This record gives sequence, C-alpha cells and structure tokens, in this order.
Amino acid sequence: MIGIVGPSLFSGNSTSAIDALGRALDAAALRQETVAANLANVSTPGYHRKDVAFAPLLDELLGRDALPLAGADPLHFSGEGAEAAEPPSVITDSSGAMRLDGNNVDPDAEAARLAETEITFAALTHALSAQFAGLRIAITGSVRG
Amino acid sequence: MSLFSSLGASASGMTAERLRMDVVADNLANANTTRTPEGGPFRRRRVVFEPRADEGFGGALARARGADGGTGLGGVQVVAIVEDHAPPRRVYDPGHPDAGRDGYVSMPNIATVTEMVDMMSATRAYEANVAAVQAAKHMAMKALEIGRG
Repeated sequence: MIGIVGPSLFSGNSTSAIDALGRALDAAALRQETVAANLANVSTPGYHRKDVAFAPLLDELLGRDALPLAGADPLHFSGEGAEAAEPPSVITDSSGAMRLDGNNVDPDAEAARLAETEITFAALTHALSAQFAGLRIAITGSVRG
Repeated sequence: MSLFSSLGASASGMTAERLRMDVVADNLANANTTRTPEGGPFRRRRVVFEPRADEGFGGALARARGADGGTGLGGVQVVAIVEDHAPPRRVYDPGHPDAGRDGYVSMPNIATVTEMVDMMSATRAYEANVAAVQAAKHMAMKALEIGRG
C-alpha cells in the first residue's frame, strides 16, 4: 500500500530539486554580481578580485555526515537536501597581483567566467522549467497541460 | 535582487571609465596649453578610482547589522581628479610669447602616447562593463522564462 500513500506533491523529490535549483540560481546570480564588480574595478589600483566560494562549501557539505531526521514512519521527511541550505559566500582572491598597481583582475578570465555563469544560469532555468513541467503533468494528467 | 545590483555595479564602472575618457580628452586637448588661470603650463590630470560600498537595500541592511559593507560588490567610484606633479616639459623656443629669459618654454607634462594608452584602456574597460550588463540582462530574461512552456 506504500505506493498509494506516496510522498505528496509538494514534499517529494521534485520540491527539493526545485529548492536546490533555486539556490543554485541564487549562487549563479551572486557569481555574476562578483564578475560585474570585478570588471567595474578593472582600473582600480590595489583592488583584489571577488569570487563566490563554491568549492569550500561543497567540500564542507561532502565532509559532513548528513544525518537523516529521526522519523517514526518511513514516509516521514528524512531532511534530505536541507543540509545544502547555507548560502554561498563572497571571498576576496588576493592571489598574486598581476600588475604593478596591485590589481589582480584579469579581464579575459572575468569574461570567460561571465560566459560560464550566463550559460550555467540558462541551464538551471531550463532544469527548473522542466521540474515545473513535470509538476504540471502530474496536476493535469496530460502532457499538453 | 542581485542581478539588478550587478547592473548598478556595471553602471558605476561605465560612469567611471567615461569620466576617465573625459579627463584623457581634456589632457589631449590641452597638450600644448602654456597659460592657465593658476599660472604656468597646463598640468596633466588623472582620475583616482576606489571600490564603492554596497548600494541598495542589501548593503544598507548589512551596514545596519554592523557587517562590514555587505558583500563588497558595489562597483567603483571616482574619488578625486588630481594633478600630475611631474615637472613640465622644457622646450627651447625663444620666439614663443611664454618663453623665459633662457629661451625655454614650459610645456604641459603630457605625453600623448601615455594618454592614448590610457584612452584605449578606458575603452576596453568600458566594453567589459557593457558585456557584464548584457550578461545580467540575459540572465534576468532567462529567469523570467522559468515555468513557461
């Protein structure tokens, strides 16, 4: 009978995927913001470029034992996905000043990062749209919606 | 909305680079000016850039909470236009009305090549900011398409 009492529409896997995608979109937008700030300060002496710390966050999450929430019933929430709720943080990259004025912004690297972020953002919006399309099929019972 | 504040950061960069361009144009226009109201030849001017504090709601909230200026992604601002204190260029031209007794004229301390390089650098930096604006706009439009179709 488990199949009949399955996870409800707004607590199941699709919702946690939507949450995760939303956070990823926020992170991509923040990254775009750091690139814009870096490019705005490309001529500012002594400016150190900003970036978003994804990798340390991921390491932290992977290293942590994600304990599932205790539940009296196998259908209770496991809390899965909740451990990724920390927002990404902005870090200052002071590695190696490339120029005499102490500024370490490389416009070419920033342009590449900008393109990368833009494409990531577009991919995430597609994935999010697909999640909503799936929900729509579940609600209406038809692919056409 | 961080995409909109990123537009603000890019706009501040464009404003600053445009001002740098204006100053370069002024320097080039006055490359041979030997008389100024302050006396002496024209002196080369330069802009001083500084990172701008976070503007908008996010920055104000962070400051109110005692955090140091939020994310520090406010863009750039021009804090001053200063004069270059390098000595004037001395040119021997006894016929010049501003020539001294020794026949030398004090010309502005402007090297045209330096100004041209500065101008190109300002143009490229401006273009980089335009690219960032385009990307932010494209991303915002993509976000509006979520859930459609």
